[in-house]
Amino acid sequence: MNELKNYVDHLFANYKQTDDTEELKNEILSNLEAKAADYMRDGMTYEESIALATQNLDTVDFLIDGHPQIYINRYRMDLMQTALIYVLLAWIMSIPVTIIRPGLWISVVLPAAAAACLAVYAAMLFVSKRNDNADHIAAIHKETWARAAQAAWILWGVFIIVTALLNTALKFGSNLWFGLPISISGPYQFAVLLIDYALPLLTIIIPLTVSKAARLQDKYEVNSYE
Amino acid sequence: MEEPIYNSDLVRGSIDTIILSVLLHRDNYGYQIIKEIYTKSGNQYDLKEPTLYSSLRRLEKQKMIESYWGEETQGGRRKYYTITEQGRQLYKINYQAWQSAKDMIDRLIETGREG
Repeated sequence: MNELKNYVDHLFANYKQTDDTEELKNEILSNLEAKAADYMRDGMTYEESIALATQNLDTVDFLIDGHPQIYINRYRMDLMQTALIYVLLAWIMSIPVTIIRPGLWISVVLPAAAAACLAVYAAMLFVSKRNDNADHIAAIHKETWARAAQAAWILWGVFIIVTALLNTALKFGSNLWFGLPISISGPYQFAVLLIDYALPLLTIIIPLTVSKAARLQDKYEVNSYE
Repeated sequence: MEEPIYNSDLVRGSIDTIILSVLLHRDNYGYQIIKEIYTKSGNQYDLKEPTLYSSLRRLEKQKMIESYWGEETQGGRRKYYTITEQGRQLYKINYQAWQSAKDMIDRLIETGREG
């Protein structure tokens, strides 16, 4: 039955071929063939048997290691909640700063981001209530997310270093270049200085959210309890 | 398809034990296990392949069952599963646990009065 063999090959198309996957493929194929044979014995046509036999199996994600099944909708809601909270916190922490050092980032970007997250979260709530699909399950590729989290932290680290260097260059570049002493005229200027260096640190919410995603995946993993 | 009268999530939660019960008396392979469960359920419970394969892999990883390839008369090969001693123990434990839970729940949801 070539059709079934093609179907199973297609199921496994995106996965690395290992002894394990080959064995699983053969098992699934032999079971499908037995099932289709039964249907044909009951009088169904070849095409009908194949269609009915393969009806219940449209992915093998969850069978390949590293692809745990999670309650995908609950996970996404939780993640969106987290992102929203982080953005709100960042915005709240930055509000006192606007008194000393107004800036585009604080007064526009952060509230806009907060509003956007809130809108997305509200939309997700609405859709989930309407569809009632809180228990929907899907498989995720853990390794991709682990790598994304690593990349996020590295990029953030680089970003912080670059902005710190940039700040230093802008503020003290000429002093350092000409060998003049660096002077800070008073507490106000000192505060402004601190803020300029500290503000980029608020972007930590980005790698934090990506890391949280990995932890949330474990939390919402589907377990079969006895 | 009509909605079944039982709560299939509840049944699926015990699927490991159900499969162990099928293998308790006789070795079997995937599709055959589905058929036996279907018959056992009075043609009510249609075990889906994803649930079957997840459960079989989990049980094998826990060493409750073992697998081997068997030659078929028509010349194919099928992967058979056999229950291990640990599997028999687990079955007994889960069976008891289910009976206790069932008794407790029966007791707790009872009202003692009609209506």
